[in-house]
Amino acid sequence: MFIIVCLCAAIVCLTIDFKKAKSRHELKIGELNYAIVQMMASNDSQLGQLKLSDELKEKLKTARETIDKDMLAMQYDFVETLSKNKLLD
Amino acid sequence: MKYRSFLIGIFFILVSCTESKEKEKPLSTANRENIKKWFNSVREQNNREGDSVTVANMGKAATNEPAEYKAMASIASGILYSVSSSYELSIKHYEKALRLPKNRDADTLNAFAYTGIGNCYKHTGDYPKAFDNFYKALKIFENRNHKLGISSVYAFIGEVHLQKNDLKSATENLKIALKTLENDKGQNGWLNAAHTLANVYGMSGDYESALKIDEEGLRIADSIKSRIEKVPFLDNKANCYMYSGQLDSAQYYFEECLKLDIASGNKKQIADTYSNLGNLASFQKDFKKAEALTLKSIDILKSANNKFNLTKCYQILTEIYARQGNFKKALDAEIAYHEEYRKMIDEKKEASLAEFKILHETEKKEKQLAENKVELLQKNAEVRRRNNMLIVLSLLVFFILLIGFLIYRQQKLKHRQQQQEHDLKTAISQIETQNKLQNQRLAISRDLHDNIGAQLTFIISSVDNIKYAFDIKNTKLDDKLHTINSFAKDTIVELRDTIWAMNNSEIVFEDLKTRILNFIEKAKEAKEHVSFKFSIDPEINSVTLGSIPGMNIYRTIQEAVNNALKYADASEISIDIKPEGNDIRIIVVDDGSGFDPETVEKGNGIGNMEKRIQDIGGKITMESEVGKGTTIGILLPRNLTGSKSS
Repeated sequence: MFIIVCLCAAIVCLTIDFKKAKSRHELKIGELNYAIVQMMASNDSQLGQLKLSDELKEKLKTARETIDKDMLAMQYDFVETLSKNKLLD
Repeated sequence: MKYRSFLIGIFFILVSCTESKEKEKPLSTANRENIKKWFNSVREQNNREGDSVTVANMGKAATNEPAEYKAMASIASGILYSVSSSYELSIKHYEKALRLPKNRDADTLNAFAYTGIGNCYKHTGDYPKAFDNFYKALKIFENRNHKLGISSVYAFIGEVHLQKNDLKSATENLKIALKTLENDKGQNGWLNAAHTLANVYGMSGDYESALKIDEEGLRIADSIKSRIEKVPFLDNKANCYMYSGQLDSAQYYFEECLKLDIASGNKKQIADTYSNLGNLASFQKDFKKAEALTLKSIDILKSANNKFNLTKCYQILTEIYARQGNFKKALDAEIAYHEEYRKMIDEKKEASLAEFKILHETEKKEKQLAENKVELLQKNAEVRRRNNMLIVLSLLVFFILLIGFLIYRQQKLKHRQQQQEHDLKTAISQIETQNKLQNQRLAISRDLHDNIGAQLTFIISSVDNIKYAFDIKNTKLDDKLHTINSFAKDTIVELRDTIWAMNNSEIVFEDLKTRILNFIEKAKEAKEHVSFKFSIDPEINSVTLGSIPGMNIYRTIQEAVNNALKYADASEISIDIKPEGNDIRIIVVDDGSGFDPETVEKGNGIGNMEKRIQDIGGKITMESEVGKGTTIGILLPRNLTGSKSS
C-alpha cells in the first residue's frame, strides 16, 4: 500500500514536472521567436537599405557612363578647337 | 443510453431471479410437508420398528432446508435412539436440535427436544437432570398453551416420581396430566397418564380408585374403537382383582387381555399375560398350571429375545417352585434367572459399548468435518490472499509502466525542446551573421557614397571653376560643361535622397512630407510660373513606412511632378495625401496638355512609377485626356513597413 502511494506520488510529481517543463519551454520559445521576429525586421530593413544602395549603384554607374561620355565629348571638342586654332603645336 | 441499458439489465436479472424462486417453491413446499409428516408419525407412533428408514429419509430431505426442518430430523433421530435404549446418542441428537437457530414460532421443537432429553435421563436414573429438562419443556408448552405437551410432561414427571417410589408426588402430577386433557380424553396422552395413575393406585393398594380409572379408560378406548388401548387397562384391572383376592375376576380379565394380545400378535404382551396368568394360578395354589403358563411365557420371551421380561418370568417361576417346596427347581430357576440377567447385562454392556463407539465415531467424523471446514476456509483465505497479491502486483506493474511511460515522454519532450531550441538558436545566429554581413555591406556602401559624393562635388566645383576661370566663348563647350554640371548636381541630389532613406530604417510620413516640400520648393525655383498645392491629412503624419516603400513613394511623386513640369507644361500641380478606409490615397493632379492613354508610348518614367508602386503592394491609376491634364491615383496599404519582395 505504501509502495502504491509512493508510486502515485511519483506519477503526480512527474506530471507536474512535465507541465512545468512544457510551460517553461513555451516561454523560452516565445522569447526566441520574438527575438527572431525582431532580427528579421531589422534584417528586412537592412535588405531594403541594401536594395536602395544597389539601385543607387546602378544609377551611379549610368551617371558615371553619362558623365564619362560627356567629358570625352567635351575633350574631343576641346582638342578639335585647339587643333582649329593651331594651338596643338 | 448506457444507463438505460444498465437498468434494463438489472430488471431482467430481477425478473429471472423471481421466476427461479417461483419455480423452486412448489418442490420446497412438498419436501417440507413430507418432513413434517414423517416427524409427526415418528413422534406419535408407539411402535417405532421401521422408523429408522423414515429418519434416514428425513435427514436427507432436511439437508438443504431451514433450521427448523433440520431440528425435526434431529429430534426424530433422538426418538429412534431413545427407543433402542441408546440414550447417549439420543441426547446428542436432541441437543443438536436445540443448538440449531430457530425462529420464535418454532420453539415448540425445543420443548420436544427437552422432553426427549428428560425421558433419556429418566431411563438412565439421572432424575435431577430429567426434572430440569421436563420443567424447561413445560415452560415452553405453557407459554404456547400446548395442552398435549403439558399433559405429556406432567405424565413423565409422574413416571419419574413413580420410579423414585414417591407415589404421592406421582399421583399429583398424573392427576394434573389428566386434568389438562380433561376435554380431550381420546388423546393417547390422557390414556397413558390414566393407565400410569391406575398403576400407582394399584401399587398403593387403592384398588377402588385404580379400578375406577381402569373402567373409564376402557370406556374411552371403546369409544375411540382402539382395542390395543384397552390392553393396559384390562391388565391393570386383572392385577387389581388378583391382589385384592378376587381371583375369578382376575382370571376373567387376564383372559380378555390374552385374547386382545393374541389378536394384536404382540409377543411381549402375550408373554406378559401368560406370566400374569401363571402368577394368578400360583395365587390359586394350582402350581402345575402356574409352572406351565410361566414356562410358556418363558418360551415366547425367548423366541422374542426379550431378556428383561424373561428375567422377571424366571423370578416368578422361582417363587412358584419355592411355594411348591420344590427347592431344587427353584434353585435351577434362580440360576436361570441369574444367567439371563447376566446375559441381559452383557447385552446392555455391548449396546452401551456400541453406543459409545458410535458416539466416538460421530465425534471423530464431526471433528474431521470441522477440520475439513477449517482447511477449506484456510484454502479460501489463501486463494483470497493470492488474488489480493495478484491485484497488488498488477497495480504495481501498471504504476511502474505508467511511470516508465511518463519518464520516456518527459525525456522525449526534453529532447524535442532541446532540438527546437537548437534550431531557433541556429536560425538566430544565421540571422545575426546575415545582419552583420549586411551591416558591413551597408557600411561599405556608405563609405562609397561619401566618396562618390565628394567626387561629384569635386566635378561640380571643377566645372564651375573652369567656367569662371576661362571666359569660354565656345557655345558648344559651354553647353557641355553646363550639362555635366547639372547632371552631377542631379546625381548628387539623388545620392543624398538615397542616403537619407538608407540612414532611416523607418520613415514617418512627416519626414516624407518635408522631403516632398523641399522638392516642391526647388521645382518652384526652376518653374516660377507653376503653382503648387500640397496637402496631407494630419492623421497620416504618424504612419510609419519602411525605407524602400518610403523611397518608392517619394520617387513616384517626384516622377509625377517632373513629368507634369517637363512634358505637360502644367501651370498648376496639386498633391493630395489622405486616408481612405484602411488605405492611403495619393492623388497627383496637373492641368497640363495631358495625353491619350490608348496611343501614348510609355517611357521609363511611367513604367518606373508603376513598378515602384506594385513592388510595395500598391495600386496606381492614370487618367488623362489630351488638353485636360492628368490625374495619377495611388492606393497604398497602411502597413507599409517593407517592400513587397521582403
